[in-house]
Amino acid sequence: MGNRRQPQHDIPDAALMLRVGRGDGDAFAVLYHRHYRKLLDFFYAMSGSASTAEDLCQECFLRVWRLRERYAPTGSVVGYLFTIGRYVWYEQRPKIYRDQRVKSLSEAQVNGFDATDSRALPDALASRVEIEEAILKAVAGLTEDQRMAFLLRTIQGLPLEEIARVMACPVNTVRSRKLSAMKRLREALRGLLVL
Amino acid sequence: MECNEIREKLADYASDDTSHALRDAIEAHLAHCYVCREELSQHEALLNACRTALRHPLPLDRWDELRAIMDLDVPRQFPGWRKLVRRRAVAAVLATAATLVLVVRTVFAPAPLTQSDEGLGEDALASAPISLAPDGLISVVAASREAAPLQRYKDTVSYYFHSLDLDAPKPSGPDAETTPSPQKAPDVTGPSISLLMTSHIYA
Repeated sequence: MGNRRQPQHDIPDAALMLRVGRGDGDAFAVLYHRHYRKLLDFFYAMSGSASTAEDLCQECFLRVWRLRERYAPTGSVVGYLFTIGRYVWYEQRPKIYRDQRVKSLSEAQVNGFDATDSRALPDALASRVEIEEAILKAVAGLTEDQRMAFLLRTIQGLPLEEIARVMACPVNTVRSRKLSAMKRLREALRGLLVL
Repeated sequence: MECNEIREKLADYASDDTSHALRDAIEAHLAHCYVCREELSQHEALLNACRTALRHPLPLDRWDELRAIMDLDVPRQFPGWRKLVRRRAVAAVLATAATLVLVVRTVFAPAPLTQSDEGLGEDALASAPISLAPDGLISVVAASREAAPLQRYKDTVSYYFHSLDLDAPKPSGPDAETTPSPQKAPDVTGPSISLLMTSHIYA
């Protein structure tokens, strides 16, 4: 009884996901709005493309919905979402890399613009866009495993153990991939970021 | 800890992946080491720049679009279909496994004993009358001996009686007096020796 009166927004992820498993679309909506930004950022950093990230994010949540009956509450729901996200990424990456060759540069330039930012004066905007482009390029230069470990740990803040489950590898492997990524990024961005 | 050791750990420290003990040691070192503090600030600058740059620039809420796809989703309208496929797949796997077990057992089974294998062949067993043990066992052994070459078995029986210091069955016939040695096989038939030996064991 108490659970029924409880607003969906206060319900923990695991309980929401169990409701989703029973076909509760409202619970899925709450889960979507709670976590879609994380997946969107993850796919954006992985692909370097805003529109690709949106498509992958939609595909990921659609996959979660279709596989809802198979969900078992063994880890965190965020980890579960990123596990599915990882599979979606591996599935779609040939098409992503093919498309990137055609249109990556123009899109990256548009993405940096934010008209509401008071600091977005022409010079500052130019330098910010340059930095963001350089960072995206440097991240794209990492291996996929390094990129994934780095993003999940330092940007998304998942614990190492959770990342190990997502990437299906030992914790120490995740740590070494993250450290390698940080080292390579520092080398790539040394001139730009006053490192 | 020395600066070199601390610097190796600074990347983990900046991304909050150190144990409490190591964190305390690093912070104690940073309190008096300017160079390592600079090194740490570079790690932190890198992470902050990445956290800013690697965010989606125009996050749009596409829930309505997703909801429309969910409503049109075909597998949702036929929930029993996948279960049926899954059940059939399990049945196929079990049937394959059972077939494999049968094939392996057939291929790697030991060869059946034949008449040349000391008389315990299928022919001998088939010819034996079926009755309860121990009578049945005696019958089977008797039938087996009957169908087998006897010489080796006779030697064995002879040794058996000799080693137990028993009186071996006396050979009968015209040359009985000339062959008293226990080493020589007694001139008896297979079934009689088998029956004698088996009954002796049971006794």
